[in-house]
Amino acid sequence: MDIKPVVTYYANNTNVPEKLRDKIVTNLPEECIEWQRSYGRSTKKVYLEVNFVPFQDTFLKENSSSEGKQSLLGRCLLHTYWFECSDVDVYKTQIREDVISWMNRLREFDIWDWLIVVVDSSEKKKSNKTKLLPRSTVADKVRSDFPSSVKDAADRCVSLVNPVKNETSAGDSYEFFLDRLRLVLLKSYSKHLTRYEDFVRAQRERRNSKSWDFFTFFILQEEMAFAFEMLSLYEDALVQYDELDALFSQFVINSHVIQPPDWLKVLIERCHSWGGLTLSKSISTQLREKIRDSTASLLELRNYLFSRQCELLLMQHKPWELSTRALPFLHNCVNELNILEINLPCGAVACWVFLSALEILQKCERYNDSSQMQIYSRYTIGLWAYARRKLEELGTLCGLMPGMNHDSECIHKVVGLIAGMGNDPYADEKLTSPSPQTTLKEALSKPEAFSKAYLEVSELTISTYKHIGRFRSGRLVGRELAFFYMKMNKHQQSIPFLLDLEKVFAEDRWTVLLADTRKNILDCFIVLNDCKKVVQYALLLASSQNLEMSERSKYLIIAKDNIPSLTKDDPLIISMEEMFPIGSITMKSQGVFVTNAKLELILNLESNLMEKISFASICVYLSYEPFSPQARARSQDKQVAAKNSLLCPHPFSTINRKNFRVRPKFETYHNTFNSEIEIGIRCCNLNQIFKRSVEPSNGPSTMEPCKSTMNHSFVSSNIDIAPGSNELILTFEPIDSGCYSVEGIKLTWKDELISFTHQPLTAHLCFTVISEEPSLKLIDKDGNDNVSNLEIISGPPQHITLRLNSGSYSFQPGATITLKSSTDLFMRLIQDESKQEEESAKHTNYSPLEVMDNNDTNNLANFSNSIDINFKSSLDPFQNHDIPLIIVSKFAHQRGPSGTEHNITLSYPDNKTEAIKSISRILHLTPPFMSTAKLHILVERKFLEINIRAVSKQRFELFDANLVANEIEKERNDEFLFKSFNSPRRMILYKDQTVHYLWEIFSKESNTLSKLLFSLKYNTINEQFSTNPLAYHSYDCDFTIKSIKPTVE
Amino acid sequence: MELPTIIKMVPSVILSFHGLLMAFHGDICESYFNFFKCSARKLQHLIISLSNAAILKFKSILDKSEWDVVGCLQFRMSVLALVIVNSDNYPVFIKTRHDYDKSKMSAEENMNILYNMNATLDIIEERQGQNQNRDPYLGLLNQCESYKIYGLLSATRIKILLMVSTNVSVMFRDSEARSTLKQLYSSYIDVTTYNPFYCPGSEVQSKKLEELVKSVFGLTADYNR
Repeated sequence: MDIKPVVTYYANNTNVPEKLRDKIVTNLPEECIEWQRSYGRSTKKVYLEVNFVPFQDTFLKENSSSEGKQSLLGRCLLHTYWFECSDVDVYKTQIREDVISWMNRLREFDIWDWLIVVVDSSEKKKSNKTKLLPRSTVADKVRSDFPSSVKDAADRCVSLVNPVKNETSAGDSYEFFLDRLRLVLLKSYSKHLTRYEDFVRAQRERRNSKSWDFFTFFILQEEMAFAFEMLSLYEDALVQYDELDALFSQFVINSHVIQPPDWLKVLIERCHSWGGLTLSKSISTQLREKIRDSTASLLELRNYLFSRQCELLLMQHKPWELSTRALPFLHNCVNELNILEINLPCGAVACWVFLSALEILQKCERYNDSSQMQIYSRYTIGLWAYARRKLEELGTLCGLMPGMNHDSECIHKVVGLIAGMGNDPYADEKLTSPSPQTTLKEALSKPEAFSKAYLEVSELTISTYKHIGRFRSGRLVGRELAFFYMKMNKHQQSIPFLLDLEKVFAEDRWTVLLADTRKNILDCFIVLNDCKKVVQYALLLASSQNLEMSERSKYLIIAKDNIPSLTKDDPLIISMEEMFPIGSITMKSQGVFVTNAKLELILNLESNLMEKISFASICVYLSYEPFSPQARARSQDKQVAAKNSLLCPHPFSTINRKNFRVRPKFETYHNTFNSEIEIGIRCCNLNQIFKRSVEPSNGPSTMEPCKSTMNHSFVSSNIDIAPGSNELILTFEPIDSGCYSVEGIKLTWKDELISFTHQPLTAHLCFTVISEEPSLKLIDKDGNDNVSNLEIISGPPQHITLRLNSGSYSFQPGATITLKSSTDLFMRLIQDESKQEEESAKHTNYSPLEVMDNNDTNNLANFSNSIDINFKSSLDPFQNHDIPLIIVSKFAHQRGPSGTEHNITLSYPDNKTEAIKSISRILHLTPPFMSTAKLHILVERKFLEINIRAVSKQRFELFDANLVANEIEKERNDEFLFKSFNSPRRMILYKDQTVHYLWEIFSKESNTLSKLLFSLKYNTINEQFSTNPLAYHSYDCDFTIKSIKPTVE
Repeated sequence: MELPTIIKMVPSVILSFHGLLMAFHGDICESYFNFFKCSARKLQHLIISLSNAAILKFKSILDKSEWDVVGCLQFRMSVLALVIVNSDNYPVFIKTRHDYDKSKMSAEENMNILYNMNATLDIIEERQGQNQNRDPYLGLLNQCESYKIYGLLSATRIKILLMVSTNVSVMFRDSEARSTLKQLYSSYIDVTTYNPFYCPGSEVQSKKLEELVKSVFGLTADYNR
């Protein structure tokens, strides 16, 4: 508003004011002045602008009239009196009277805002500087003359060195004059403003009276806004408009409750146009005039009000606030139209909203800084979305949406709407982008153009939403775009939007919306005749718990109807998570899991489908990982590993599994620090736990399990899955040892046409399978396998027990294992305890038959080199089976104490391969005693001494020692005579004792004898068992005497 | 009415008229607005310090109570939908007017409301990053011609969204949204944390909460809790 306050000048004897006029007008607003405000409001810096005009009487009158009170702008604020005089006497005689009369005239009209300017154009002043006592100047005189009734009269007189004549020295004086002028002017201004404010306030209080009119009040208060704006107090100016805004809103809201005032009724009846908001001009004079004449409509009033608010916000450099205010403004207006029940033709409001939103957006764009694009977009996006919605509304209304009938009635409507928009405010201007009205008119012209505009706005909205990270909102707009494409019969194009939306809801688990979106997707695929997808989505919907039963069965029928159209080459793989959620997976088998054994798994599967469905097979496939070398090395750990077989993740597994949910690991700690003791619990993997899982969930995954994992799987075939919970038992026989973990589940329906997969599983299960060969050990009577102290003696029969550990094998009842011994070792199986006793009972019969002779193999009838053992009951893995045996071996013809080694081999058939596997065990057999021979010669007599030294811990009794010539030289026995010096008594021999036998050898001829046979009978003495006293074992030993020829000395 | 009488009736009266005063709009209400934030004891002090004129005005409010009940009901009736989502944005409680009265809201409208509620989560997530002050109440999040959505974001990222219709002429005051949301939040805390069988992330089923929600929707007479 280009109305400035007025300052008059009155000058009789000088033309300085005229000359300075332009200078003052331009110089005055150049500097600001601090404004102390009334009512304790904060101090503001303001800039003053004035019109400087010659004095006229009319200015005096305006102050007194009632109109004068109601105007603020353009009124006279200050009167100045200028005279040029440097001599006090001249002033006294000539000018004073004139000033008095001027002032009296002002007083008549109750005006107290005046300023007297004494122009000093004399150049003498400089020369007078030396005067000791300066005479009082004209200005001083004036000050003393006019102190009357004005407090600050001293300020109201200022002397000015004539800048026209004396430009160099006038600078300071001129500045001082300007300051004084500003000060006095501001005082006047402030006074008037306060008075005006009071007036406005009083008017506002009257707002409920009948004669009150909002439009008048609007103009009244707006003047304050103008005044503030002129003082560059944009904030205060805005407050005025905001107050008006709030006042009006309150009226509108109250109109619902109380009888609306007359002016509001008029406003309601007057709405016939819906021209959009125009922000191009700072003040729309056209609209303002309408308001002043009380002929504006609601939309016009709102348009004007908002455009002024915008303008003031932009003056304050707050374009973002403009955009934040815009949306509530639009909503509020529409709401007010509703409250007031203003009857506008259909679509008119939509037109207005669209035009206004676009106008605001274009305005904002001009003030937009690309660096703040994101923040700024947050505010404007609402406008875009709103404009888009309204455009859609218009499109539907005028039959412009695809698939609608665009008939003459629609064209008629469009014409009506366009007419209501009024003239395009930008019609004459050349704009880089089309004006809002041009855009809208173009869009409404024909369906094709509408589609183009609609898609443009929609895509812009979506991309802006995505840009600022509001993906949900963006995709929601995408939903509408999808419907738009559907109407255009471009279902293919709408699918990506819907799939995006599906992803959002699946991620957020908004199942209601998910089901709704899937219905839309299904509709699209049905139109596109994509059987695979139809089956998939129909099944998903059929298992959705948010739908009615009838609906769900309907979708199941759709799915079934479409299954025949599937081809085998292109099988359908569907994620089963939603249709068949997994209740639980547990191992049914217990204990240690070994290879080649059947493992059983219990799978609890729920079915959300409404019918029982038969599946060809179900398999739970596993990933396999052989034991690492380290794990293999710790072979004892295998048992431990097997025991922990259901730990997860398995300690032996090295696979880094991403989908493990990290569990917090806690450790306790206590520190002693500075005599304080800290004790606490610490979570050492906090970072891992709180790490956000960035794993993107891509909705239902339809991954085909890779072939390698399919080798290992629990399988069950031909199963029925009924609605509700199903417990299935699956089996698997692992061949290799190692760690297995459950990777996924696959259900196959209808000859692999459809398979349902579930991968990866949320429930994790892993187990180890171990494989170990059976082992054979020798154990002592107490069952210990530490046999270093156990002594097996060759010669007499020995009771030993072999322990077979089945390892990871299991022996079924009826399975046969074979024991084989090395040639000189014979075995007999002790059937069981009772028989053993029986046998020992036999011993007590002292049957001489028991006498065994090593050389007589016939006596070994019960013994053999090979024994077959039949298992009567099954032997489970890692179980022991003891095989009690009696073994007999030939007395070792060996003189060393180390004894002989014998082998026992156990052969068993492999369960799987039927191959015969064998394990062997070496037995160390020690001889009971050892014998040595010595030949002693005493002159011609020859003595043969035989020493028997006990080696084993056993006690023996020895008897019937005999020495004869060896068998080869038997015929020569007669030639020799062995005279025994030995006692016939039985000798008892302990370990490390030696028995000496001595013979004197007489030979009939001096023949040489080289080979001798020593024989002995012996028997073991056992304290625990009574041994058969008649039984004995015989011992033979050949000695060869190298040179027995006696030499006679 | 004499001063002592007023004081006596104040705690019960003001508290029971809490909701009514909120709905009452106009200048007169504003001077009493502080009441709602005060406890009963503070209210007594406030009443004592009031001038006679103010007490008379107060009386006039009480006299108008018949009208206010209607206003309050109207405004309670304007609640369209309520959604509670957990920290992962999984919905744990959804109620719309459609659930109570199918005639008031069509199934399609119901769906649209839910779609918009879901989209509003975007704005909460945006605020989550910016929210510096610790006030869980987020205020107005989203608005459209026909509705406004107010939100609350707890420290544990529980979000409560309240959709209010703007078609009804009664102004929905911000403070009412705040108190309603806080009330719902504390009730949610009660029914989830005090229930050892509640599994986080699953749907909340609680009679207590249902009752409260019913009153928020203005369907029970007891709207003054």
